Amino acid sequence: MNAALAQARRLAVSPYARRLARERALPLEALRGSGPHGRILAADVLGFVAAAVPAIVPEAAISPEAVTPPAPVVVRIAAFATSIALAPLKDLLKTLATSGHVFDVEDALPRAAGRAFGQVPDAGAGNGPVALELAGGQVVFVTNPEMPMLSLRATRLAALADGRDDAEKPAALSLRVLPASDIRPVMMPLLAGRAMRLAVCVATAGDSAECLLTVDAASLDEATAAAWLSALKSAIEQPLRLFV
Amino acid sequence: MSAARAYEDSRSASNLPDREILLDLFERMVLLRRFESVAQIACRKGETPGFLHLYIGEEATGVGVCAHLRPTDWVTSTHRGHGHALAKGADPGRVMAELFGKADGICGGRGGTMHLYDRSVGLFGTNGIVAAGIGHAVGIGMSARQQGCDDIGVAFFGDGAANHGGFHEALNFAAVQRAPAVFICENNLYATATPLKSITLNPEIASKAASYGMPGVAVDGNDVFAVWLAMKEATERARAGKGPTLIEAKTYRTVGHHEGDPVIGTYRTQEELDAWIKRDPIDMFRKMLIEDYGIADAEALATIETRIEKVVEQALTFARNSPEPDPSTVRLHVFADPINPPAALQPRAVTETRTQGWLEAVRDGIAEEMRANKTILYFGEGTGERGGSFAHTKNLWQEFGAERMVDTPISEQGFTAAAVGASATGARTVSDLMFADFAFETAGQIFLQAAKLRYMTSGVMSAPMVVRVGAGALRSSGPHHSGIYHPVFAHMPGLIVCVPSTPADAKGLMKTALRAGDPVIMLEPKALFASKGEVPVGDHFVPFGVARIARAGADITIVAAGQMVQRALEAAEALAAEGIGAEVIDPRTIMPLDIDSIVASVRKTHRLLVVDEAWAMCGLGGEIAQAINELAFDELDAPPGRLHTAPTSHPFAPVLERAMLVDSARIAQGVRDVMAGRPPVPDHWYTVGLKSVAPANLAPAPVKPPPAAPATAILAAGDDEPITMPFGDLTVSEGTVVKWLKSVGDAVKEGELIAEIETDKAVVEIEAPVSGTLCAIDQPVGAVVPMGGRIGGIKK
Repeated sequence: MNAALAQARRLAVSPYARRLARERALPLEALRGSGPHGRILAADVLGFVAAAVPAIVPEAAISPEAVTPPAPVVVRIAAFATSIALAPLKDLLKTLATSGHVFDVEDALPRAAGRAFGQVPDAGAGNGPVALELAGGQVVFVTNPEMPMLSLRATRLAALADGRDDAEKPAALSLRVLPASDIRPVMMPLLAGRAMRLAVCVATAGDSAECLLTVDAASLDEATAAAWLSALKSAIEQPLRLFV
Repeated sequence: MSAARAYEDSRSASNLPDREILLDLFERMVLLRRFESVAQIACRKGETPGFLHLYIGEEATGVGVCAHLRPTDWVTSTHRGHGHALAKGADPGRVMAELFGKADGICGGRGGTMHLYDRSVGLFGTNGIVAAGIGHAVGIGMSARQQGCDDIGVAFFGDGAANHGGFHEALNFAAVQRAPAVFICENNLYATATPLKSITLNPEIASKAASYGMPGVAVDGNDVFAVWLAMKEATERARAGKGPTLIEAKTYRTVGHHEGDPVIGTYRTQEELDAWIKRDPIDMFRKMLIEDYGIADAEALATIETRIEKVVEQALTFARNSPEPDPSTVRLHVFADPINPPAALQPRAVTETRTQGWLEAVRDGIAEEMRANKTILYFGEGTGERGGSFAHTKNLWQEFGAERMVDTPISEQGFTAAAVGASATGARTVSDLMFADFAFETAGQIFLQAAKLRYMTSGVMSAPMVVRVGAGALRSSGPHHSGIYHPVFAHMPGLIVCVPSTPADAKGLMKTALRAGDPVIMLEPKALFASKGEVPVGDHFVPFGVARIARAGADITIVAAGQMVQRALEAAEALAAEGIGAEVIDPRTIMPLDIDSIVASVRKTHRLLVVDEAWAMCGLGGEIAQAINELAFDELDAPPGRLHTAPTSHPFAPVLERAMLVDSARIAQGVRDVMAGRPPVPDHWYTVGLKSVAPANLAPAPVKPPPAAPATAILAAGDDEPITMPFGDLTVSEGTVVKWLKSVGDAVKEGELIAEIETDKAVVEIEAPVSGTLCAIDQPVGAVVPMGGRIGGIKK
């Protein structure tokens, strides 16, 4: 590679902006720099707009007098990642199966999310219902009071069968379980009406899951979001408590 | 005739001292000779690192002088000082270990041959700087006198030093102060390799004493008894408070200047050397003891020599067996640990404050400390009865007297050396150099002596003195009275450097400095002398190394000290109107530097602008910016910026001076530039060809009209001739009308006294500018008038 090419490809990023992007798992290439010579600044990271976000903007937010193209409404997001050990949960599910009680990881995750809202009340709007993303739509579970585990599973399976969609129902979080893969997302857009989105990507080996939590930074501060994700991790890694 | 009989005869016929004293002189000379002969061999074997300057041939002088001294008297010495150390009683084993650079050396291996100090025997130090120790001895004597004892300071120096300014300044100051000191010039005829007669037309050094009004005595420096007799009288004089004496001991080193320097051939002849070897001090004295005095026989003296041989052998073994110093200790003993005195660290709640001017606040602080500590001496030019050039010592002479508020000759080197000597021996001193620029007249004493003393002695000694100066630019003070130079001082390990920005901090730092353990450079910005501020009532100490947040803000950190703090605050106010929140950090002390507070601020604001009155090259801006790179790189959202005084000398013309200095408008623009990610581009490197320095490339300096004297605007009706408060001293900004000697309607003559205005420094008499009738009194008695302000008018 010649020097000129290397120069052209080099991104100018302020050290602080680089740090902020690293903490948020944002690829620098996705950011547009507003500083001298296109230098990416802290404000560019903090004001980063995810591609899908304009979809959730209510119609009314766009002024009819707006010049074309309409000014994008800036939604500030933050994202947090963690790895969760799944072996204890899988062992427990196996043990339960031998006694005739069959549950999947998908049944345990909404319960764990509900427990996390119980421990970090600042994260959940109201009772913090959780929406589980299915192939055809979302199904919302009440997390407080908790639905019995059996009816939670029954509701999920029924929704899968009849294509029910609770997208219009309020929920603090949407939860998506991605197929087992070694490729995992580093950014996920928020869904309409959901201030948080949790993507769970089970590793091919099946003994761990990578979790990506995306939050609307305007309605949730970073420390609360991080605390919530930590509570979720703890709930899944000590799964016995999910079933009592 | 038996030896004892001969001694009794000679006793009755002469002024011979006791036998023990004479034998002791012999033994000491033998010790010096044997010690150095062994050190010489060790040096040739490569066992001693560094240079080695031997005293061989001159032993009679050191021994004859030190025989009169107590352990509590102090001697200052030269690069050729092993003999002085041993003669003063330093342990031969530990001196030898120091020459070997070992841990058991008298300075723990930090000093070495030319920097031997021993508090326990009164050895102030051999010294690598010619003439530097002469002034120390003056201060040592004054320190002892202030502490109420009759100990004295004795300075050894060579003929080369007699042509150095340090000699002149120290002897003159000692004489006028009647300092309890004795000056011993060891005239060995060569300043290194330069013959004395080729560098002065008056090689009779003793005769130079007359210039200072003190006795000067020349003696045979190879005759230990002659030296002993001369020193006896000089010591008695000094102890009795009759003042100092200069003794010139004519002697000769029978070795080269240093080990490796040829003994003869380049500047000395074999004939000259042979003649002096015939007059070897030990051989001469042995002969005298046996043949003239009959005190001892050859056998008795040989017994002494055998004993000393063993002592020196043991010293060599001790030095060889001593461990190397631990490399992990290399950073110890630069400053006292902790660097702050206990008083400065005690939490104190400020319950009450009062508004005070800068000079008054600092004066109060000094007076409080001088009352609390009777050993504080204040050396300065005109700071005694006159109250100081800036009225900065007003009334201190009246309270503390001439012995403590010492009016010095204009001898910065001399009295600063005395300040070093006094502060290291139990007193505390202020060396008031008037202007920071003048510190360079005594740079050696500050940088090479005071700053290094603690380190050279592995923490056994220190020079807790305050160098006090008015610093920085102020209204056309010009090239020689405007500098501040704090980066120069802060560069030197061992110096504490203060640049206060408020009267409260100035007083608090001065009080801390007067209790500290190390030399403090107190740079008080002259531009702030006329400022006022709230000062805590009661004991008020500001610790070193603790920054003050002068203004809080979230968008950018401005670091500024001294008079730049106010400029930065003005800029911050202007920027607030633009929505930029600037945080102003005032470090207060440049060394130690509170980098933690600056880092904490940058973590909050993510942007930095350093504003400093000193120059940019190797300066504070680069220093702090790089520290942020090292400590908080990930916090920076823009390159740090720096604004310094332009890299020129201080011009006289006001318009040029304004063009050179950083003002609030430049700071505000600097902030905007850093906020935009484009810090101001400095140009202080003078790199040939890098860029044109044509004036067209320079941003035009905002030319401000000179500040209008406010009162002149209040013109009385008609076209009378204004009577004004005259522009006077640079550090005075206003005065109070205390008396009108004429009333409206009175006839006045040109030059006639018509009013009096009192300033911080003096009462100014106001004369009628023209003859006529006093037609207006604009400012009544009690009114405060700015300089240049109108107070009344005269109609012709």
